[in-house]
Amino acid sequence: MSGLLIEHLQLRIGAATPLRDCTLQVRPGEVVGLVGESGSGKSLTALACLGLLPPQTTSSGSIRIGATAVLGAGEALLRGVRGKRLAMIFQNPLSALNPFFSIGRQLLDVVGTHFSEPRPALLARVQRALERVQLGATFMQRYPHQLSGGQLQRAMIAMAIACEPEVLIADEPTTALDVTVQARIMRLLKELTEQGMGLLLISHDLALVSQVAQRVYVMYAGRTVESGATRELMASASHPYTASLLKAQPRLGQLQRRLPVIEGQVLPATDTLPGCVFRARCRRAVEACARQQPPTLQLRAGSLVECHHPILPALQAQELNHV
Amino acid sequence: MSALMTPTESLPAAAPTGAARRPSWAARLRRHGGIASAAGLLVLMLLLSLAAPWLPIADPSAIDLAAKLLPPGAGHWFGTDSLGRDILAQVVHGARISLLIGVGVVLVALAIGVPLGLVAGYAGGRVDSVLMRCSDLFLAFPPLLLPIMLVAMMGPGLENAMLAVAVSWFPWYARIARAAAMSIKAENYIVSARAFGASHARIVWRHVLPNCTTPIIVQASLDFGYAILTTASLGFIGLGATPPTPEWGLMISNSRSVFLEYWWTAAFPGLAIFLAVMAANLLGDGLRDLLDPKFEGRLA
Amino acid sequence: MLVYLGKRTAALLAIVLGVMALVFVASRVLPSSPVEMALGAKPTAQQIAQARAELGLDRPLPEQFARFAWRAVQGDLGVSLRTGQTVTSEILGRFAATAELVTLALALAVLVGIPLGVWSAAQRGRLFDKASRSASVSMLAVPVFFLGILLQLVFYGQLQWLPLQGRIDSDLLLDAPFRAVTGFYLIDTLLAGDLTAFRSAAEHLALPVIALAAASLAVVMRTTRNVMAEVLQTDYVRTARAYGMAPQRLLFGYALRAAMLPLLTVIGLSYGFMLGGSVIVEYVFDWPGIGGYIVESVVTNDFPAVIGVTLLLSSVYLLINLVIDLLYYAMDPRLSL
Repeated sequence: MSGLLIEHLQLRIGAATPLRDCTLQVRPGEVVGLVGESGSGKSLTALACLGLLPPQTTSSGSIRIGATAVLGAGEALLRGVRGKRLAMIFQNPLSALNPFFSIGRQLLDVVGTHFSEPRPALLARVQRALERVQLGATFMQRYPHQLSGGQLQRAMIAMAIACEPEVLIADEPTTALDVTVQARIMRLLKELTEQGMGLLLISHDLALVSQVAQRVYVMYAGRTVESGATRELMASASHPYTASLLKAQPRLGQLQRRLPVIEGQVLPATDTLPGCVFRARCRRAVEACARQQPPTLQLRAGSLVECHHPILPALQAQELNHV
Repeated sequence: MSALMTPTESLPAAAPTGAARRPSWAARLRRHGGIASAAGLLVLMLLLSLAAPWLPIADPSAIDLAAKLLPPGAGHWFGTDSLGRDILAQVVHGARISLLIGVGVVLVALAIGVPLGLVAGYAGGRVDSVLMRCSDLFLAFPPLLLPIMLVAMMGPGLENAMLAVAVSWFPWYARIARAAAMSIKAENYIVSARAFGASHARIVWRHVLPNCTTPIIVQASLDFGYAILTTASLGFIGLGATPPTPEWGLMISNSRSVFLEYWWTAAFPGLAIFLAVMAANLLGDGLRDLLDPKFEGRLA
Repeated sequence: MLVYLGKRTAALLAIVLGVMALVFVASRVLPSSPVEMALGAKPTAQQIAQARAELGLDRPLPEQFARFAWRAVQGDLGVSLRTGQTVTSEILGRFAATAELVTLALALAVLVGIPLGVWSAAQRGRLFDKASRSASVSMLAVPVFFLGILLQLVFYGQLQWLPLQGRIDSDLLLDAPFRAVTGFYLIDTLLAGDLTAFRSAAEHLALPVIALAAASLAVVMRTTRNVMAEVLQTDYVRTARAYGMAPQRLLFGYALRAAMLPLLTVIGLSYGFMLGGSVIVEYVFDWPGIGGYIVESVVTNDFPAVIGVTLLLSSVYLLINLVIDLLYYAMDPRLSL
């Protein structure tokens, strides 16, 4: 089995449980989206895959890249995984690159960490990576502050693919960029997966994710509450939260007097009451929602949802309007 | 707001984003065992030193050649020096002098620097340039060198030494005051005060000055210890206090001919300097932690 | 970059001129009689009158200053009242001794302080960090002269491991003097192959260097620790970790580079601090350098010497600051590119 597999990942820091139960999988060559609002735990999930959590964090569950277990592994093993098998790019590329070293130098450092080859070979790898992201050789000598946002993110992507990882995790890669640049970066990311690399695209923007991802996982309050093929999910969501997200997206050409919002606030990480995490904001909440953790249901092939009262396929049309 | 929602209180940081709430004053004070004990130590020294003339200790200037260079023991807890004077008495009386030095130097530096900085920052433009260039000249000297030169020209003596040190330090206070003045100058309430006819002087006094008290207090408390150190150094090389003043630096200087065999003649005054400066520094650091919001995160 | 250099050099010259003006004004304003200041103790009325004319003290002040500044710039700092030699030659003769002391002390403060600070930041909150911070706070409360005396007391008085004062065993200088090439005894003795003299020079250097370096070491360590602690929280350090960089490499090759800039400032300040501190240390250890010279001069009211040394040391200090500024500019790609 290859690719990234996260099973029932739970993270605790002090009295808070910012990640309650996350399960997702990224197969080789697949583009998977992870969608949720701020505080849903999606970034923590990414950091957990690389073993970059704050020291006081306790964890349970499992994370595997290929056959290698990552959660709870020792530093030496993790260093072998980071960048080489699992790479990550961050939201703000300007702050994510060291301002005192040139781009080329930083890329060389990364390949040098994972490949003990002579310098010309390392240089060749770096140049190849830059080519793949359509940055010319002149960018080797440039410094981060000399690059535009789009170029910086490409440079980061070059760093990520330079060691040819199995899965690339992109945490809000285009949020800090102009809309026009966004499209190009997304296209680039999609192209890169054509050679067998998996991509986990983390975002709060469901529409963006739906353009490139084959499968989507939806997270709320630290739980993966729904997952499925993108097209099916976008057409007919089963979980009330997903449905609300879809409804909340303004659509061109449709007059809306009031923009629909999801009322209430995100469940705090310290909440330990039983029942569904979405119960306080859900219009479909029933009595069971406050008492018990909802079951994981498979309403369609290849899709899962955690809900006591999911939106069943037959009722989709009316429900969407109602919510 | 949904009725089912339980209200959330301020949360501790769980995810990577999110700022910690500022703890209350009481909580911060409790965390600073250091500042409490430092302040306590300083207060103790202050009281002891002020009460010096009435304490049951010997007369610090009483020369008794028969009792010279006695080791610490009964009757002379810190021993005696080469003229038979009781070292404990000298150290205690010296505390009063050192504390006065610390306060005096800082006050004079303040008195010169703050008005200068306020005027420079508030007036701006050419006045600012000229004033700041002039005051920055005083910063062009390596530490100690300017006081040494000034005392050389003024003649030795404790007051001269204190004045020389204060004159070397005033630019720091000028800068603080200037920064405060410049940041306040553009505020809306200043403009409105002017519109209501307030004079410049009144504005500076009522609005600008209170704004720089915090950083000035922090700087002053940090400088207090250094003032004692610097003046003791001047005393050591013979440019500060003159005999028979029981100033700690001078005492160590006096002991130079005998300290190798009679360690207590140098050790106790030195220890006194160390404790006083240490307490002052801890107090200064602690005050800065308490008062300066930027340093809040540095405590751990 | 060149433009920046030009601007800063011009500013430097302006400040040096300003410093000379300050010193000049002080020398005319402070003492009761500037003439006596120039002549030394108890001159006769005739000498005073003669000196007034000679020194141009009856000329208007700006003219006096111009003459003073002009001479100073050419290296003429007057004649030492105590020794009769020119102040410049006295300083030049003592320069190497102070330079050797200060250079070694700075090297000690930096080479020991920075790694300790880096390690302290990496161990943030743990025992080593707490211990090192307490140590540095204590170090800053000890006066330099007392530290020197303590070192003498322990290492000479009690243990007899190291000598009390001076630069080298005076016998060695008399019997088989080595050639002074650089003026730095450590280098010269090695060049001459004289290992006994080398050892003696090193032993004599040990205590003064430690005394001079201690406070700066504490400051360097503390600043390094604070800056590194911040750097270790940055996004780019997180990136380096995310790509598997080994911890040693991360700390010293990567994070430290980002911390260098504020450190440069601290190093410059330390140098200045040591220039001042050398006065004290040379006095305690009877070191034949510039610091000792200025103390002797002050005590004997040798004003030309005092003024000359002050001007020189200030100029050196300002020059060092200029170099630091330039290095700062050169080392930050965001400024220089």
